[in-house]
Amino acid sequence: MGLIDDRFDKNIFTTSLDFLFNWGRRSSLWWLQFGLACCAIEMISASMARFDLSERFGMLFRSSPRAADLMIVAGTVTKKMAPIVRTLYDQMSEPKWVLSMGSCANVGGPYDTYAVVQGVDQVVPVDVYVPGCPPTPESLYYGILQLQNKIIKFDTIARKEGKGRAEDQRVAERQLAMAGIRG
Amino acid sequence: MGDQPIWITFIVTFAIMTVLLLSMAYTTWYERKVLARFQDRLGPTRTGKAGLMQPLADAVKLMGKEDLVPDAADRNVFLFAPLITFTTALLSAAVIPWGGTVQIFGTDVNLYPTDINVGALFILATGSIGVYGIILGGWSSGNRYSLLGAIRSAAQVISYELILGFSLVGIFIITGTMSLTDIMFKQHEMLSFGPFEISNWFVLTQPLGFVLFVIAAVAETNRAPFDLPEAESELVAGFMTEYSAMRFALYFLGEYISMIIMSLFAATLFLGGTSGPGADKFWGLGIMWLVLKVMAFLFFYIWLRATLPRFRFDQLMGLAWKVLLPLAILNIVVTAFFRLIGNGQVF
Amino acid sequence: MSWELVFFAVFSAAMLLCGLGVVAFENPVHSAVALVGSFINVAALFVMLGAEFLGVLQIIVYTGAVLVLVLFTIMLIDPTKLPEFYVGAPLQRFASVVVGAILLAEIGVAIITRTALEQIGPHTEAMVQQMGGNVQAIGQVMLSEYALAFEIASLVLTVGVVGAVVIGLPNRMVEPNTVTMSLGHTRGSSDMLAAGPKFESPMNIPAERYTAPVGERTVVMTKDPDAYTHPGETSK
Repeated sequence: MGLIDDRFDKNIFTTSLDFLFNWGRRSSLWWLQFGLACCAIEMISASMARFDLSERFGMLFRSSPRAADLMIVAGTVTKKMAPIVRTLYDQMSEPKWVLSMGSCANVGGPYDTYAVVQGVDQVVPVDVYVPGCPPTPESLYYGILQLQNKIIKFDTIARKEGKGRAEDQRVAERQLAMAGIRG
Repeated sequence: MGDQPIWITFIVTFAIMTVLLLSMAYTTWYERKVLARFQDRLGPTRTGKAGLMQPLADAVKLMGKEDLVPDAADRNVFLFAPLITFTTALLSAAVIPWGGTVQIFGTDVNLYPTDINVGALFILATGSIGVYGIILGGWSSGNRYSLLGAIRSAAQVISYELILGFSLVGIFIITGTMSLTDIMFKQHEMLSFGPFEISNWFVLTQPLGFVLFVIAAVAETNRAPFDLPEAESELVAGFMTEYSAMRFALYFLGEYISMIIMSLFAATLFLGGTSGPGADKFWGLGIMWLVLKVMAFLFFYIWLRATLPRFRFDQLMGLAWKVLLPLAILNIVVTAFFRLIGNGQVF
Repeated sequence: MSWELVFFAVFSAAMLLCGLGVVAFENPVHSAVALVGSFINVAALFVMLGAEFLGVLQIIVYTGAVLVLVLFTIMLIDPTKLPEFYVGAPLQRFASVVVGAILLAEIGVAIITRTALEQIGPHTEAMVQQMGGNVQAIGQVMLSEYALAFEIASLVLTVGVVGAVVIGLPNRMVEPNTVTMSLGHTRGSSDMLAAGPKFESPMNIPAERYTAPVGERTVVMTKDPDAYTHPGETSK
């Protein structure tokens, strides 16, 4: 998708195509099969017969990170595990999302110790945080619905308005500063 | 079964390809729904009505994913391998008959792309080329899980292709032909037992061959309980561990299309193909019967997946060489013996 | 007719190119893939000659079984550690040249007698049609005229299979001379070693170490424990 990213102004074609892709991505979030601690039990429970999170929303367990879209960090991220989490994240193919599940993954939880990463967002960029210790399957649902709402609003092809403005502002500020230095 | 202008063949081929590609996508939906019911779940419900848009969403998503080539991979082989599996799986459909010669708008149309005199062997041959996609994909990924999956797949397919071939020999002995069209129309004849008349389906005369064929077909398509090449619990995703986006989808769909082809093949060989009530009057009914048989086979595939745990590798090989192969040879010997009796060459 | 010529040209050109690739590629797996392509094109030529049965068998037997086994073996080898092929024994090289020349001469003789001298074999098209087709003709000829050669060939194959099984069998006849090592269990995990190993171990560990009383035994590990956690550092 690299060729057409951020290339075109918003019009009926680009927005429709964006909507199609976003709809596809939202409706088939395949998630990486890996759990770190007790939150994983709730995650498994959410995908089992009673809640059936995985299939009803079109989600599938994939054991290979190459084919996965969503990483659910379920549980305490120890410092020993952090590089592995990062490796798995890097191995996933774009576009990819991360959902941090439970207090431990969000902020370190009760383990304010030398061995635990205080929040998985120090290791990988997180899209949605689900609070709870551990979160119930319903909370996980809610988090995933929020993530779906987030995905459907993505702009892939359309040119981002904010990007150009920020660049203009940066150049203006730099020129102002240079002018100040030169006197 | 006469010759026809080549453009009619093109139209028939195009129609069959379209139907196959669409049904392949919806086989994934069928499997997810049926499997969910087996496991007391609902399956896809949110994407379209009853999750009917799910295959489209998956396809759109996979098209938009990043096409990764790992550093350790052998680039050209890695990019080429999934195409082998996919195309050879589609190629097998060329010899499967969907009926005989029928009149559509006053023109004679053969409801099969081609009718070669070794049709049954042709499907085995395309299957044996298809395994290269798996082997080369697994090797070129530069990942040891992939390599292990590839090696398992090579051993498995060689062993079970033998059984698959041997289980058909009984039918070849009975009919004296390897053309799928001829085999299918042999089964349209009726057997009469006094007042009762039943179709001469080969599942009645070749029950052992049928069982062997079904077991070998499940193993040949790498489906549970013989899905060792992609065993999640041991090999991550087996030979397709390193594949992402559409190349992964090609493997995924290649597996489903070979499931459909194997079901069509089994229905044609053992269950009379298009034979069924009313099929002689109108060709559309024949196609409907064939589709129903295929769906029953697909249901059986999914049923197996929902019920049986995966075999261990030595059990898999032991089953092939120590149980199925002797049974297949026994089947051939017994069938040949009865054929000789039928010819009046014994007694 | 002209279309047949075009197809023949395409298939034979592809076949020759693939054959060239078999020799030219450095990576043995690439060579094997080129061989697959060559075989498939040969099968296509068979089909064009009206020998569908032979073409399909070519694919099932050579492409589907033999070459898969070849690939199977090659994949497990590190291609950089292969021995140099071209410095074999001089007798071997001489013999291979002679055998190759004889095969080439046979093919040449066959082509010349069948085309230039127009001595066509006994199985003409009319005769094949009378037998009921190509497949039936092959079956009848193979099991009547060439029955002895057919049986001898299958006997040779059976001998090959039995030989492979005998070579591949674990040495049940002799005493086991290797020891399976496991961490934390100095006697090893092999059931046959109830009295402790007395045989040569693959790790070159003196055997008397195992016969020492339990308290004095040194724990032998296959790998330094720190190698798992701190790669590159050695234990103090």
